[in-house]
Amino acid sequence: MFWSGSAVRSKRNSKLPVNFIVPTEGAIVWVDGLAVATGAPNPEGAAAFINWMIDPKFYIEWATKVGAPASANSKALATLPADDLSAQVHKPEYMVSKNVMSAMPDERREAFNNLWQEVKAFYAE
Amino acid sequence: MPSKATPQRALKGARILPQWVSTTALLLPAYGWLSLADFLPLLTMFLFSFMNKTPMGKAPIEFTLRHYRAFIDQPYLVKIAANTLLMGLWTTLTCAVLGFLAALALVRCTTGARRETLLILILLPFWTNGLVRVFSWTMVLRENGFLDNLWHWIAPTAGSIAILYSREAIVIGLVHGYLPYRIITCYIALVTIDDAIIGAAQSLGARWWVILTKILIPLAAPGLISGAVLTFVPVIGSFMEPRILGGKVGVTMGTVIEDQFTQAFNWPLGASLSFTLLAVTLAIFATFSGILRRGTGGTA
Repeated sequence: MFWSGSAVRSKRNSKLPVNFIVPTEGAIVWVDGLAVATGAPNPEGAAAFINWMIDPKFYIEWATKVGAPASANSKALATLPADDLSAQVHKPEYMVSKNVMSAMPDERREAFNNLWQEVKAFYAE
Repeated sequence: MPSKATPQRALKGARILPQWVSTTALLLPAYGWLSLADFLPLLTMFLFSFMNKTPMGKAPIEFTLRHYRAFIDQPYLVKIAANTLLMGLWTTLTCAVLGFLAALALVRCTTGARRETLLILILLPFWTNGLVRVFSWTMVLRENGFLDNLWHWIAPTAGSIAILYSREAIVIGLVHGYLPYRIITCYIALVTIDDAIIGAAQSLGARWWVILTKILIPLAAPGLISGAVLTFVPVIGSFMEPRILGGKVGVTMGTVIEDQFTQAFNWPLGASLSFTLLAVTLAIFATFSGILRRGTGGTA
């Protein structure tokens, strides 16, 4: 279980013998968002920061020197070398069976949390 | 603040004002603060425990009793509760024995400056943050930790004696944390026992175990009971020690309740579990206080 950005970092920067694959059963996908809160004291600064985070010039440095998650900005993603993992995570065959994380109804979240508690209790014995 | 003005007035007018005025004025600051800081949040939590969801956001709140059915709907909680009570029992018992012996030694065998130094040494751990103390136990109990290395040095071929991430490790950490309370409560109870009573018993030929069981324990019973309450109640609600020293096995009512508040965002369930635990604790003490009072023959 790994984040794609960490996989990039491990493989390229640390030269670890690892590879990133998506199992046929599917992977979990989620989107990290950047947002400005209502009534924030410095909305212009926040917007400038968001623009910088998705800017292709910044992204290529982040992705190649550190290891970044796949950008939501297609222009930024296009600057990556074709064999870069972050450029590949949006491949159609990867996208088929993925579960995209989203908000859950309260009842399901409660059931999920209770089940997780039961799992922990089981392994505590 | 009436608390500043009224006691003085009550003193000046002691002959005119009835006594309950001064009593009320003296008690008001403490009780006022306690009800503000303790009772009101507790009452809010009690209210939360009947809600269908955490009262934040715009979703409408309904009142329900279903969270109080948790032990029936989620039977695994019963096992967790049993383990928690057992953990509380072991900690309380270990603390009782160690605390009583230490207090006895302090009272019977030390005097003056030496006793004060020893008392301060007992209180010293309280000056350190609890989290630091619990984490320092991980250094002692883990594999290749302090104890394990010492053991390997004594017996190089024997296996590891590391017990980090076990129920024993949790009890060790909890005993360490709550032992000072026990020593102090036992000490206060024992120090008030008149030496002449023990002297009289000895001169009449009482052996040490007769003195212990017929004089010291019955006379110190109130201190022993209050010490037991002071240990048992926080121990069964503890979550830091089980989490850090118990690892995988550190699932207690305390961690379950904490999870409801910090991870599951299910405050009503966390609150109802807390109040169920409180009810169980009160029931246990109601049962035992009767037995203990009878056993001590009215000295308590």
